[in-house]
Amino acid sequence: MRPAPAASRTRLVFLAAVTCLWLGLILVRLVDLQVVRHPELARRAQRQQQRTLEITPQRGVLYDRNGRELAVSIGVDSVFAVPSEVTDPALAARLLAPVLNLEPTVLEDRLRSERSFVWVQRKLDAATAARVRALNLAGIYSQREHKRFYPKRQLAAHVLGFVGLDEQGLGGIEYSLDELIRGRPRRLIITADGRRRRFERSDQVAREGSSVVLTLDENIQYIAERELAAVIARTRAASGTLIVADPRTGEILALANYPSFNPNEPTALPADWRINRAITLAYEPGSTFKVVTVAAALAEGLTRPQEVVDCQQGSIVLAGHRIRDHKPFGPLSVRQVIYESSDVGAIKLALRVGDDKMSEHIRRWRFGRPTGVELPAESPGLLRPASRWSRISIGAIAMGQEVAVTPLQLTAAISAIANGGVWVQPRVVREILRGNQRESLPSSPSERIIPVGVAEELRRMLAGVVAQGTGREAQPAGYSAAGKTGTAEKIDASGTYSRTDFIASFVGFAPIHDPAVTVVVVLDSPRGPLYHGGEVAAPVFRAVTERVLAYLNVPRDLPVAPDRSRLRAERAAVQDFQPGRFEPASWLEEDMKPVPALARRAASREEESAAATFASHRTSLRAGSIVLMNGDSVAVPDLAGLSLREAVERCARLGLEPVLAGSGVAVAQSPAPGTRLPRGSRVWVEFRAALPAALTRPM
Amino acid sequence: MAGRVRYRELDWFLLGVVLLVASLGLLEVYSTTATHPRFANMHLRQLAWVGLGLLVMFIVARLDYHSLLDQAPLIYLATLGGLVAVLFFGRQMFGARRWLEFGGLTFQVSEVAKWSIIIVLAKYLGELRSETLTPKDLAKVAVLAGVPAALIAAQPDLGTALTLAPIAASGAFLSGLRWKHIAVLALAGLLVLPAGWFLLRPYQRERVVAFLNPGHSPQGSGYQTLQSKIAVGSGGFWGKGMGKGSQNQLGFIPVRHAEFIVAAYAEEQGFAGVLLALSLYLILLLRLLHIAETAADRPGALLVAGVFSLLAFHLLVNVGMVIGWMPVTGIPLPLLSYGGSATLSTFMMLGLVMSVRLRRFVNL
Repeated sequence: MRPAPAASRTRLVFLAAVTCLWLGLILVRLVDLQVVRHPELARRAQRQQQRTLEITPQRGVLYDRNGRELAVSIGVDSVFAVPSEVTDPALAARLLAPVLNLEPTVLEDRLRSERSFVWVQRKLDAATAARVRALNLAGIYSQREHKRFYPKRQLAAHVLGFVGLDEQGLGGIEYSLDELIRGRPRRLIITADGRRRRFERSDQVAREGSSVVLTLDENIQYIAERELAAVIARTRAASGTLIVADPRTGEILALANYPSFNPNEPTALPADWRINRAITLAYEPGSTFKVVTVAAALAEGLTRPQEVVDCQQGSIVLAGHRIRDHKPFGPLSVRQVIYESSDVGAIKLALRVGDDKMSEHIRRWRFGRPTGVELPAESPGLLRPASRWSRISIGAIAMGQEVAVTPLQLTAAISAIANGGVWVQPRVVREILRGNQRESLPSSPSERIIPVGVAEELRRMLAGVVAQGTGREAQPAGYSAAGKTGTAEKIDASGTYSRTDFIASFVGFAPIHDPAVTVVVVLDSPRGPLYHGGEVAAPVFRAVTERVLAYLNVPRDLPVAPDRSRLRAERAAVQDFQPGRFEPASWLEEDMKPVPALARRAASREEESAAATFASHRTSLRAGSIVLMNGDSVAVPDLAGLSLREAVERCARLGLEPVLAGSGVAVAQSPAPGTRLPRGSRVWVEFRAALPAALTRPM
Repeated sequence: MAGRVRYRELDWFLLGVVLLVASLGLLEVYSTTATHPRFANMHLRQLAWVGLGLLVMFIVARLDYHSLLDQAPLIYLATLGGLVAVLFFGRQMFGARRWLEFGGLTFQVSEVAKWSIIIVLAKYLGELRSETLTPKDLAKVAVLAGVPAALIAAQPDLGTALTLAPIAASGAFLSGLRWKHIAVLALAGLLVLPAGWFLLRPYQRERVVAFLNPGHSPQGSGYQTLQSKIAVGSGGFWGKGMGKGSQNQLGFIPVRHAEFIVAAYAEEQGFAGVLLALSLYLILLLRLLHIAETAADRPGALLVAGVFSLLAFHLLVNVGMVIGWMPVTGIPLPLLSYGGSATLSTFMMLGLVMSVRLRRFVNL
C-alpha cells in the first residue's frame, strides 16, 4: 500500500518543467554559438592563437655590367607586438609613440588588438630600433627584415624600378623579374597561448633571391643622365629621354629619363615621374622616320641614292591638301633629301612605294609592336594597317606623322642600320646569378630587316647628315658619326599640330665604321629660341658620344681640330667625367634633382633619411624619449675592405650617413677611422672594383 | 524502521547516470590537464575522489536519514561554529578565507554547510503540519538559511552563499508557499537587487560589469567569458576531438579543469557532446524529483528536493556562465569539474538521496 505523496505532485512537476525550460534555453544558446556562429568564433580562435608571418626575403643584387651594385638588400629591424603580452598598452603606446613618430592613440589601439601579432613599425633605422629596444617593453619585439637600398639613388631608376614595403617589385626590372629576384621568404608561424607566451616555428626557410647583371654601365648611365639633365636645364623641356645602346648586341648601356625619381623613396614624387618614357612614350617621330621611307624606296629598287628628285620649291599637293616643306628646296638628290630632311622629297619617294609596300616595310622595322625588352609596360607604339590609311596618310607617314614610336623602338631601328641591316632585340639583362651559378642569357633574337647594300647606303646618308646636313651639331670631336634629326610638331589640345610644342630628337651612331654605340635623344617641348632636333638634341648626341667612346676606349677615327679640342679641354676641366675618379655620391642629388622638386619637397622625415636610408638623423632627442648610450658622438669605424652593403650597415648601426662612390670594396674613407663625429654626420667612402668571383670576366 | 539495508533496493539507475556523468568529467579533466606539467595526474586524483565519494555515499545511504534529522539542531550549531571559525582561523587563499586546516588537510566548511542546511530545513519544514506555509514560518526559514549564508558571504564567497538560496526556496515552495507570496517575494527581490550592488566588493562589481558588458575590457574581466564563448563556438557541432581543443590546450580558457570545464568540453566534444552531458544531467535531476515524489515522508521528500535544487542551481549557473549568460562566479559543475570537496559533498548528498530511496516503503 502506498501512502499519500509526501510532496505535492504538481509542485514537483512545476520544478521539473522549470528545469527543462532552462536547459532548453541553454540548448538554443549552444546551437547559436556552436552551429550558427561557429565559423565566426572559430576564426576568432584561430586569429588570437596563430599568425603566419612572412619575413621579407633578401632580394638579389642588381649589378651593372661591371659588377657594381645598383640595388642591394640590407638588414633592418621591424618592430612588432604580441598584444597579449603587453601589460600596459596605454603606457607602452605613450613611450613608443615619440620614438616612432606615431600617434599614441593609434598605437594604443594596435597594442590592444585581439590578434596574436601586430606590426608596430616596419623597417626602422638602426638608431630608432635601438631606442625601441632600450625601452625594454614587455610584448614588444623586433624582427630582422630586409630592405631594398639603391646606393646610387636616381641612377638608372627607371630601369631598376623600386619595391614596396613587403619588398615586392613594383617597377622596372624589380617588377618584371620579381619572381627571380625576390627569393623565398622565411615563414614563421607564431602561436600565442592564453598565458601570455608565444611560440614560434618556421615552416619555410628563406632563400636569397637571384642576382641580376644588367647591360647598363654605371659610368655611361651617369654620363647619359648628366647630359640629359643639362640639356633639360638649357632648353627647359618638359621631359626627355636618352638611350645609349650597343648596336651589335642590342644591349642597352644607358637609359635615362627626365623627370626621374629616387627609388629609395619612390612615392615622394608625383607618380608620373616614375614613368619610363623610353618605352612608354609613343610619339610621332617626325623627320627621323624619313630614314625608313628612303630605306623602303631603296629596298624596292624604286630609286638610287644619286637620283635627283624635284622638291618643287617646298610644296606638294596630295589628295587636295597642300603640304609645305620647311624650306623651299629645288632639285635634290635622294641623299640630299636626307641631309636636308626635305618633306616633299620624302613624300614623293613614299608615293612611289605605295601604301601596302610602305606599311609592310614599316612593320619589318618592328614598329607597331613592343621590342620585347625585359621592362614592364612597354608600348607597342601606333601603326595603323594600310587598309585604314586615308589618301594623304602615305604623305604624313613618309615624314613621320600618323605613326607613333617609342624612343627604344627608334634606338633598335637605328641600331639595325649601324649593324648592317640586322635588327637586334634591345635588352637590359645580361646574366642571372643564382647562388654561385652564373647563367648567361642567350643572345638577343635578331633578324635582317634590310639588305646589306641598303643599310650601307643609309649609313652613308646618315653620315652625311652629320657631316654636312641638319645634324652638323652632332659631330663629335675625333669620331665619325651618323644620324638623323627630327623636329615633330606635337598635336595640341585642339587636335591640330602645335606651332609651339615640338618633340626634338636626334638618333644616330658612332663611329661610322664598326659602330660602338647608338645614341637616341628625345626632348619633349623644349622652350626658347632653339627647338629643332638639330639645334637642341644633336649637341647632346655629340657630348654623350665623345665621352662614352672615350670611356669605352674606342680608337679615334678623325683628327681632332685644334681649336675645338682646346675648347673641349676647357670644358672637360670643369665638368668632364673621369671613370674611377673619386666623386661624392651627392653629384646625383645636385645634378639630377629636378628643379620644381626642390621647391615642392619640404624636408619631410622620409626625405631627411633618404640619403642613407638607415642612418639616424634625429639625434636631437625629444623630451620623454630615451637617451642613447655613449652620448651623441660616435667613432668613425674602419670601413676598409668592406663591401658596399657591409659598409652601409656598419655606418647605419652607428647612426652615420654613408656617402658612397664607386663600387666594389671600400678603399678610402673620410674622415679617418677613429675620428669622433656627431651622429648623423656624413662619412665618405670610396669603393673600387673587386668583382665578385662570378663576375670576373672581361666584358 | 528496519536497520537492515537491502542493496538490491539501492537506486542503481541513479547511480548509473551519476557514474556516466562522472566519467565524462574524468575524461575532460584528463584532457585539460594531461599536457600541463603542473597538473599532471589530476585525473587520477579526481578518480580517487570519485572512489572515496562512492564509499561515503554507501555509508550515508546505510544511515537512516531520520537519525540525521534528529541531530539537525546539533548539525546546525556545528556548522555555524565552523563558519565562524573559518572567519577567524581560516587559511587565506586567493584573497578569501574559505578553508580550515586539520593537520595537512584543508577543508572547505561552506561545502558542508550546504549539506547541513538541506538537513536542517528538511527537519524544520517536514515537521510543519499545515498544507500551506505561513509568512511566519517563511521568515524562520529565511533566518535559518540566511545566517550561514551571510557567514559564507563574509569569507567572501558569494557564489556558495547564493547556493543556499535555492535550497530554502525549493523547501518553502514544496511546503506549500502560496503563489501570492511567491509573487510578492519575486517583486521584492527585483527591487532589492540593485541595492545589493552596494554590498558587493570591487572585484565582484567588476565581474557584474563585465557580465553586463563583455566588450568593456576584453583583456580584463570580460576576457574569461569571451574566451569561454570562443571556445564553445569554435568547437562546432562535432567538436575538435579529445585533447585537440586549441582554446583549451593553449590555455585561453580560464580554470579549464574546474569552473570552466564545460567550455573545454564543448570545444573538444562539440554540440553533440554537450547535448549528451546535459541530457544525462536532466535525467539525473528528473530522477531526483521522482525520488522526492515517492519518498515515505515529508522530511525525506524535502531532503531529496534540497539536493535537487542544489544540483540544478549549480548546473544552471555554471553552464550559464560558460555560455555568457551569467556573471563569472566560482560555482563548479558537480561531477564534471575537478574538485575534492565538491565531489565528496556531491556524493554525500547522493547518499542522503539513496537513504531516502531505500526507505521509501514506510512499513519496511
